[in-house]
Amino acid sequence: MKRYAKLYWLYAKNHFKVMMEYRMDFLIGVLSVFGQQFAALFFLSIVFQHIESLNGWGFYEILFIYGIAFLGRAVHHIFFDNLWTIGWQYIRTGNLDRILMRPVNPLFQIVAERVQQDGFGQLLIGGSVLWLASNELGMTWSMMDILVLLIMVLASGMIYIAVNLFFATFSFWMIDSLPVVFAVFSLSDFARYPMTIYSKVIMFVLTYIIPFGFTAFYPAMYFFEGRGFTMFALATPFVAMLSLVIAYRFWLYGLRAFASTGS
Amino acid sequence: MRLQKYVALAASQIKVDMAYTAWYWASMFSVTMRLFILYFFWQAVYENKTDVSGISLSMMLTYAVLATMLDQFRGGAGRELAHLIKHGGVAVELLRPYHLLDKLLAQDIGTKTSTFFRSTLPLLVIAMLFIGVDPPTSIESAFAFSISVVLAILLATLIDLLVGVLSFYTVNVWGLSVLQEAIITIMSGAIIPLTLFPDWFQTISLYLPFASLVYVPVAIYTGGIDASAIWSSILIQLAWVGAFFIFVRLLFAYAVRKVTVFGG
Repeated sequence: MKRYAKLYWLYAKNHFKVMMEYRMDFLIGVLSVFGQQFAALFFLSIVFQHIESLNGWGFYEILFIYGIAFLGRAVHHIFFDNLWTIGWQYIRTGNLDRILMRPVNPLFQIVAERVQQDGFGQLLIGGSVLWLASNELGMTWSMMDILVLLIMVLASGMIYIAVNLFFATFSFWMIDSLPVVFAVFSLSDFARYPMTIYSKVIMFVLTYIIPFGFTAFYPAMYFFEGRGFTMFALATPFVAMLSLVIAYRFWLYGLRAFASTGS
Repeated sequence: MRLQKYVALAASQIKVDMAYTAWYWASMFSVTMRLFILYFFWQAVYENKTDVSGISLSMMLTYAVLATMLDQFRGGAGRELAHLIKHGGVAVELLRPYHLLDKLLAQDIGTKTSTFFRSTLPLLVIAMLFIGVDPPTSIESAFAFSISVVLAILLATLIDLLVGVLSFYTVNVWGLSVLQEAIITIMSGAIIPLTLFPDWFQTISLYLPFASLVYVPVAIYTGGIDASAIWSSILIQLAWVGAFFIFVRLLFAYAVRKVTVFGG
């Protein structure tokens, strides 16, 4: 464990050296992610200039849900962005063989080889949105609440990571499963709005099959009073862990299948 | 003939696109999902309302569907150019017997033609079945719409190429293209009709090219732009296309000179 922490630090240090070399690009990157999120917020605020509530949900409640989604996504984006590239950067190019030769967990190496600094923009905007929304909603934060918030954000990030890993693993059989990952991730946009606006089928899928509902809507429910869904909110960390375990098992299975075909 | 080689390039690009079936299905799925999100979102907005600033639910859904479709035609050529620049392929491309920008444009037309038949048409059928798309308000608006759409797509390609040329100067092409996408998403009316925006915003957007990308064609279709204003709107689109066409060429010529100096 200590060895891994040290290794990660070395990888990260290297990465930050590169980053400082291209400062302008860092700025563009952060700004771009910023812009992307801003577009979504802008859309919402324009719509809310013409309506008072969306299916009973106020503007700041939806903003709060957005905030959690952004933060969870930032965790995934900053530290686990390389999961997207497993197909075309590791399997297609044969880079994976290089990684398998080394006495370190291959998934760790893939993850550590990239820190996506653009994600910091997401962190920033997610934090501010959450702060703004909770102020407007008149929420009070105890130490316990802050701790729960941290856990929820991490859990949200873990679900993004698990879904990404699970579908990236198909690359072992189809060389590059990026289109599949991309398609599945388009479902994550559903999670930004209160799930009560959707039909039962969609809610079911986002709760039990691809658990994107737990990346924003359900965890947010912990902080709202009298909105229901408390059981789902409390289940969030467990769903996250379960998803991660399933995804990692599947990854190991894929890795074995892959190793046995090479020679 | 001079044009013939570009037609051949466009045709071969269609064949290349046909080969990537996985991406095709992925984007079909993703756009369908986006349509469903929009559907449920607008349903919820109109829960106890019959109109939002004069727009009815069916009009809003029609707008959303068409804007989403048009969104599919946004970029491509610029990314290709950025890729060539980043990986040095541009050096070889410059030696070949065509203008690189024309080649990219031809390939882009190929891609977008196949997108229209393979994606847009089936997605429109899905949207008509599950979401509902109003017919155009008149024959004239249908005709003007089809002209306006072509201009909008051409303008999108030119703006994309402009950003592509900028990658002579930066390596974070991804960031640049995401930034471009965000600005266009907000300013073009791709997610929401511009008439819902605050007045000051609408005034600004009159002087920017972005409204020509999505709002103008779609509002011509839905009747958001009156019959009297249709042709002047199209004229403005045409002017933007001309301006960007010239600007991209100038910038490209300038940037290429700079590269040659460094390569010296």
